[in-house]
Amino acid sequence: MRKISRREFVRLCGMSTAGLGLMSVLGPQISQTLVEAAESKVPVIWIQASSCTGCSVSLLNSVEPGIATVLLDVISMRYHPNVMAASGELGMETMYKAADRYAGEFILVVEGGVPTAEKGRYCIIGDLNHKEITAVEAVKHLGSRAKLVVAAGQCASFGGIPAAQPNPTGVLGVDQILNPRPYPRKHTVVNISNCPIHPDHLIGSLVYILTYNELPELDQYYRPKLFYGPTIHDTCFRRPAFDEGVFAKQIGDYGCLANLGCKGFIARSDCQKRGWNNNVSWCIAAGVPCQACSEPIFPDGCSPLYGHMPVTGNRK
Amino acid sequence: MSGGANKIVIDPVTRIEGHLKIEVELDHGKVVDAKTSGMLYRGLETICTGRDPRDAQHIMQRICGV
Repeated sequence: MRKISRREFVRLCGMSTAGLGLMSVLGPQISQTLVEAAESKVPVIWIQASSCTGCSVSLLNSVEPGIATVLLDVISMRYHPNVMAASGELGMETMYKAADRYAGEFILVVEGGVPTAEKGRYCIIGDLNHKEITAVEAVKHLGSRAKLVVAAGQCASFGGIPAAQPNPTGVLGVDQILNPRPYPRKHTVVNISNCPIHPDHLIGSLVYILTYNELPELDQYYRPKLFYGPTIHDTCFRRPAFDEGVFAKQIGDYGCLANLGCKGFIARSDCQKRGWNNNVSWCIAAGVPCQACSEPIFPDGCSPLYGHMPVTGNRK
Repeated sequence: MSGGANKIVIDPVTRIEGHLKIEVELDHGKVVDAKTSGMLYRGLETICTGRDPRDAQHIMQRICGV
């Protein structure tokens, strides 16, 4: 058997898939299957910018399909900072090499908003050849080589919490970075904009794209209409109480949560249908008003989060 | 690798949450200096200032999603 150096071994691990790092925790015996699966599945490069990692954690919490199924049967995760085996220069090389090797084929998933102030130096995602790579540089470089860019989460879609007033680091959504107005749109960006993502939305969108080889129908904010169709208000189980004029006065009361600050009137997401955490519950079922975390105006346009929106009975 | 002085930079440190950079200076194999740097700044305290106090926990919980 040929002896390989430690560096070669680590390079081998780094060059296969990011999922290997996670699989060694979840099930070392399936690592070999993962290596085989890697070559046949669509490559995904997942980078994080101004993020909290909530979207990655939400994805990891997916029950059906579980993360093992996603990594083995759906995608080939080539780079993911939370789970990949490689780090440092090797990690960055892996990312750039994967982008070049699979140019036009890979899906770039961006988690977190992209800071642009101070030339993007508020977020450095890595160091390669003694040069610090900013998030904005990575998004532009990888985005231009990707087949498709998925903005995972409110922050990557619309800027989210770090972009809230006064937006100290100049955070922008991925679409604003890759398709700045007023220039014609050049890159395909799909926004999965809850905070954090619902894993079904991300996995569902990826599976739709891989199965039908086309994008699902997107709304005006580039969110799949599959998941961002009717408003929360139109699907809410408390709607009969609204229609009857029964309003909750405090958290925990029966009734419509409008007076407690519910923004379900303007929020589009299928939370009522799908629930969260494998349909254990969701915000309004737990008695807490909707914050419209999937909307472009979150959080400033929805603030104060417990302040009630104007409600007019005549609104059509 | 010349003259005994060497600097190792690991950026990104992976399998953690967030962006971390480690720099280690070696002199003939002995560590003479080491630095860790957080490579992301968002300004969540600045963002929180001036808001309704009931919003504070909703803003601040987004510091970390783990």
